[in-house]
Amino acid sequence: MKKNLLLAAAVLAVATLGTSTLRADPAEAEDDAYRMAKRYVDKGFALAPTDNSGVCGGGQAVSFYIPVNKGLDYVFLVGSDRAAQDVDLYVYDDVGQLILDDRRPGRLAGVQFRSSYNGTAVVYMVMSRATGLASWYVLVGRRGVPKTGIPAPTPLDYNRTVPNNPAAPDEPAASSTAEDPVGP
Amino acid sequence: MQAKTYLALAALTIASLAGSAHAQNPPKPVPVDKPAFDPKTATPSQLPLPSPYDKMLAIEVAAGDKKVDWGAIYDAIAIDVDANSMPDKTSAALALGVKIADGLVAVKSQDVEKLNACATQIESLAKKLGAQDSDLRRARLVRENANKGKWLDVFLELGFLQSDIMKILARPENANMRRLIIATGWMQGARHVSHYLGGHYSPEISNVLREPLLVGALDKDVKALPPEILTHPRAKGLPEATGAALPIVTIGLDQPVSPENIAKLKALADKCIKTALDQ
Repeated sequence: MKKNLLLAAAVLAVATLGTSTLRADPAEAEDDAYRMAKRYVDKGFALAPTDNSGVCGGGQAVSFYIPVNKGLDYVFLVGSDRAAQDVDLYVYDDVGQLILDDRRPGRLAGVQFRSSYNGTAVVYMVMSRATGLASWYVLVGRRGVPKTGIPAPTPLDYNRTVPNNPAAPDEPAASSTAEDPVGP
Repeated sequence: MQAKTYLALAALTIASLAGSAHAQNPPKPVPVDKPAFDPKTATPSQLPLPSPYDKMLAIEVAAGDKKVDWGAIYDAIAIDVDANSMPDKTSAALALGVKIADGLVAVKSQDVEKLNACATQIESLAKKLGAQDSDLRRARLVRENANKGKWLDVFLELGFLQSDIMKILARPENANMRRLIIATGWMQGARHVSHYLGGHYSPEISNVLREPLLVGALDKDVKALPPEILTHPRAKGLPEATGAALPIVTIGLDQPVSPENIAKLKALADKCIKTALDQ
């Protein structure tokens, strides 16, 4: 009987190990973002944290400003910890028009666009779903490119069906569609 | 008795594993047609760290084949500071903003000596604000990558170093120091960029100064500083400077900044930084 109880305790301990690690972990979110950043550095982007990071629960959203300049390619990336289940990203221009969003399910979110204006992007990080409190960390990359017009903005093309895969997103699909996301 | 125990054990195990599975394997992806997001529900975050880097990059793109000598601009604008001469934390924070902006111009100029000088001064000022050696471990990576000529990695590590320093400023006793760093960082960046634009004026390129939203928020942040900081001899020039800069950068999407306004921005930023560094 005593043996059985010990066994039960051991099984319980192993089974609950996974849930006990799912707490807000800012270091994990930062590491996640750093891994993504290294990959984009290899693609010629100058990446850096925005000093926007934090902890929030499911359904909560945070907004922040990111300066942008005309003609530069930008990537906005959100790293998160394993408590985050679904992170979304919305990018508006400084007159309140939506440039693009990434609402796909998964704990990574990222967008790429070429800015058609000088000014500020207003970015919203939405923690759509989380197990308790989750940590998030935002990175921005910029890359100068020769003047070739403004391609359509696009969410980053990576496998969002594996939400806990810490691998960095792949290079976004190239687009040759000229479009001015800001308008006249 | 034993059968009952095994049954209980099995039930317990299944229940525990079910809970674990739910937590470790997130639910299947849901369709993208989520409810519309209402931006009004978001909590505004703090202002970002200042950086003239994007403006410099945009200038390079607009300049096309013409090479921009950022090293010469650094030599004309950057200011060396001595952390030991800073009488208090307010002075150190004001100087740190200046050196963060200078550091980014050093990265753009790809000059190891300039970058190392900035990194050393940033470290000393951060220590003055309470940073420990463990908070500044990225400084070593900044130098290592600079010595290898890996400038995008330098930019990345410098960004993380600045972010680590800003975490120290998230402590309640340092809350207002962050605003000072951002304010002088923006002003010093404006000095670098307006110096370039003053010597190489182009109506199209001058629009890189457009920044109504961010400078408007910066102006509000500065004016919300407590009186003991706003009356500090080195910080007292900030509200006037951000207030005067705002109308210059509040322009239309394709509207140029006139050469007169560029000179005005340079002059007000010069005065603000001179006061901030007690020069």
